[in-house]
Amino acid sequence: MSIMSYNGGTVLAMAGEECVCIATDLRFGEQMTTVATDKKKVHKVSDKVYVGLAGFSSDARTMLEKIMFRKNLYELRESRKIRPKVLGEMISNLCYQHRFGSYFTEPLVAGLDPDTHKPYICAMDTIGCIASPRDFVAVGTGQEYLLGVCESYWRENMKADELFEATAQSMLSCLERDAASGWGAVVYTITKDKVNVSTIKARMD
Amino acid sequence: MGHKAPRLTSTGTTIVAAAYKGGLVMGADSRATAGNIIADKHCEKVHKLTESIYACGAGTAADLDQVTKMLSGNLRLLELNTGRKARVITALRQAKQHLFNYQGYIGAYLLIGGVDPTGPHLYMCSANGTTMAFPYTAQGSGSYAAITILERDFKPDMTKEEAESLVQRALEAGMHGDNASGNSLNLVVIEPTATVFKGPIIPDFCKRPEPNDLEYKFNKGSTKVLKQKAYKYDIVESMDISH
Repeated sequence: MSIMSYNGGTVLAMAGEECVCIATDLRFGEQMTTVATDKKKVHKVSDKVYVGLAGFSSDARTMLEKIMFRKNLYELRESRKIRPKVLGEMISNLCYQHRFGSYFTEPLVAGLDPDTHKPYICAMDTIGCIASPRDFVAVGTGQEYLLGVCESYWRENMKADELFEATAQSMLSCLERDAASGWGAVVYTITKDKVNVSTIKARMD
Repeated sequence: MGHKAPRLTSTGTTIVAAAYKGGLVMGADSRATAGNIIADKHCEKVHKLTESIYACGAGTAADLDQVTKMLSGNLRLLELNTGRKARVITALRQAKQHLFNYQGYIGAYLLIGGVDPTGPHLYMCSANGTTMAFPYTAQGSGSYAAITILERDFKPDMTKEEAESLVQRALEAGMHGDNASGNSLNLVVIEPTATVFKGPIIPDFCKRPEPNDLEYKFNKGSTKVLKQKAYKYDIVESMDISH
């Protein structure tokens, strides 16, 4: 079994009109055993910038610490808030520094530009190859299921509440077929004046 | 024993380039794959090194991004230090020496081409540092399909239109015959006076079969929410965000 699916977990981000959604499941496992059911893989980096880290959990945590360290230094040096695109590039470079011994985690960035409120989403592989489409990105054990279902559920210029429903339903469909993810999901809806954090009812098996 | 390595994003590409009278056309498809998953439908594989030198890449996607980023940085510094335009052979040598140092472990397969004061040039650079010069060539997993078109239709001293159409047809052959190539294509036409970038071009066979009348629309509140909390942003007056 690959180290990428040792702990399991899935993260999904979708872009709408001046809003983004980022969703995570809550399972933390060791192969087929579920160890914890409250493990969020999405982390707040800044007011309107969130990062998701799927894959091997210890590496995800180490990576998060390195990301926060670099982001804090950036904001102190530049005395302004970090933009999601800059954060994506920063994480990509961090990943590529470990090209020949990578952290086994696939990062995902979702957020709004602090000034223009333009949505930005990106995902990358373990060595930092950025994919930044305009619609949706997914990482983790349920990636394959999500990409298929999102292709149908995503529409152009969705408003925050439509986007939330599309993201939540995509995530639930994914959890239905991915044994390594599940035990509920949390969806963060980031808009220009607030962040809505919703815990979704899902199957608990 | 040991673990299986994580699946990296590969460009799994078709890249094509051909020289014509006084210029060069280069092009690439835009699909990035991770195994059988299409990881990115519109990834940029035509990288700008300088105003008149471009590189198309096949292989490990992260390596290509980083190697071309390094090359464009170094070439820009060279141009500023010398006050001249960089030459294609310089870009090639920097690439091959870097890749040779890493003994092929940096999985970048490049087509480096452009126009400099010594004329139009096209080179191919392998991950292990091997380089060759060509009048026309293709690389990547779709190169076998693409090269057949080039071998059949290439002739020396073509016009710009002929060369552009040839490269596009070769790319379409690659996108058609190779599962790891497709979605759309990008072209760049380099001439001594001007460089024109064209794309993304979506060939007919890459479009979705029929317009999707079917829409999945969820009514507001159709997802069962257990807990919800809204966080309003704090307004920080001391921070200057007016860059």
